[in-house]
Amino acid sequence: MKIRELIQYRLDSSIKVFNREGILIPEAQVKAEYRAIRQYLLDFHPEIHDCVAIKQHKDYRYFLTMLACMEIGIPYIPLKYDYPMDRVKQIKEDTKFTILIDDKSIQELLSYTGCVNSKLPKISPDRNMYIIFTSGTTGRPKGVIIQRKALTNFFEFIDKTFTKVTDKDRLLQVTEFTFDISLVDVAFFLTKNVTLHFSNFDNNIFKLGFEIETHRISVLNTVPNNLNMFLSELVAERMDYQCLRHLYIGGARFSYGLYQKCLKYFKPDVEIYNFYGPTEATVYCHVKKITYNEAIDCSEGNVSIGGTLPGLEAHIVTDDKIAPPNEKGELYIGGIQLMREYINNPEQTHKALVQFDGKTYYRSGDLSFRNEKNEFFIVGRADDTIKYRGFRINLLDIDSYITRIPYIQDSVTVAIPNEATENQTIGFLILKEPKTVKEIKKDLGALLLDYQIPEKIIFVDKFPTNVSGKVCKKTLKSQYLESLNKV
Amino acid sequence: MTNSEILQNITTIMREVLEIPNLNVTFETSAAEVDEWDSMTHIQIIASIEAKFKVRFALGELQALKNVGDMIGLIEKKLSK
Repeated sequence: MKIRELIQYRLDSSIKVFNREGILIPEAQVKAEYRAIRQYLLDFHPEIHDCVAIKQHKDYRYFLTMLACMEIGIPYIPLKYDYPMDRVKQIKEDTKFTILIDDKSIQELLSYTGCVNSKLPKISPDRNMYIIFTSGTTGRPKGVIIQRKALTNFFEFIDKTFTKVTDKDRLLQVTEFTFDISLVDVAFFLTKNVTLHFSNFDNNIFKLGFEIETHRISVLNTVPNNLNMFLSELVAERMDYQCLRHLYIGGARFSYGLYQKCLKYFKPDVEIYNFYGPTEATVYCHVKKITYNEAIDCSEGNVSIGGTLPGLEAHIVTDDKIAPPNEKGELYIGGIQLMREYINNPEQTHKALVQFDGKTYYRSGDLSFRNEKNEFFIVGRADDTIKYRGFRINLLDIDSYITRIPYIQDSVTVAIPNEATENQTIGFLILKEPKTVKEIKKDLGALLLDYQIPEKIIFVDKFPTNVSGKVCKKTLKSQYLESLNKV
Repeated sequence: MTNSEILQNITTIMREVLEIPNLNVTFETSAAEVDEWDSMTHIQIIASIEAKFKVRFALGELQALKNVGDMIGLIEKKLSK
């Protein structure tokens, strides 16, 4: 499979795309817009090695811009339309992107009628496909470089595995393109020709339910948190799930509680897959088809993530050795889908990509185990990086931003496991002058992305410390939990 | 029940759910302006409103709500039936 040819084939066939307002965009318009974007990039993109940044509202034009980059062979950087300028500036410094296509410039691009170049450049499987930025541990976001061969492997897996999905299916595109699990939607469009409906649910779970019902959505690729919310009693009791046939859940931990809800609300003819994978291993590297049989799907209250995708391998490592079945250790991932590197960050690349048993592996930082049947289970994080609302955030990283605010003397952010969002983030702050939570959150909004801002802010005079003088996060957490019990 | 009485009740509910004792709620208040008002707390707010006013909303009605004013309009419509 070649992604360029796949895109050309798909855009030559009959396609159906609904925008975020729920309106069917005439096929001829979609294709004409695609041709304009593609031709503009061919004519004005100075060097094929340079990147293009995309910073638009999530809709079909964002999607078309990504496809045009993929077809031509231009590495692209997906950005969210509301990213703070500081973050965009930082990303530009790292990637040296030469073109930024935002909501305004895409309008101009669509009226482009020139045609200077007609020949597509040659591309090798090693060429960079995209660069996605994740939260960094050093205070600077890390740009994960993914090569064409890695994404091709993933698309091939989707094509060969999910044979029940056809061009009769309707997929609701929910996830932001800055989150690589959105590439599952791209894969289903390209390989299965599903009808694409761009969601506009904007965190209103009732709207998500309404969109599913109204458009009779059959394929949904989303994070466990969204599934968890629309399986909450209040939403579930007024929603008709009959149309949903294929659920692809990943990007965060599939909790045992969610598994129980799935058993309650879905029948086994609804396909549910639990995916796992860090961005560094290209979208997903493990997959488990839920069998609706708890003895097979779960172990010790953990839902299985199954085995690795073709072309990948994984080990549980403890003390530099492969751990025996059922022993917990760090999950190492190797194979064709591994990232090339973190852009301009050899230090972090060196820490993340390690040599083990003569091969290169990515250290996931995830505490895991595998059973005798070689099914893998994720237990938690091995370090301070946590999953929150499907995003990976590093607590130390957040503190390094918070303490940049002049009136904040010190900050310690902790995470407390929570069923709904996996973790609740709590920022304990020592202030130099009185401020309200609202004022602080407003100032944090200029420095951090919304999901990086601690959910709760608590003011303290000092932090508890352990014998070596280090802040004792464990004590902070237990003090917080005790205070909740007193209320 | 008047609009301002409905607003008063919604204010009490939102202050409790969002844990902001001095939250100022107006007809124009929307989730975009209040950090604590996220998808999870939104569900809790709707559940509390339904219990308080003894009404039940359909999915289609809930998806269209853009701010507190819309909520008040919907409650008023339900109570008048």
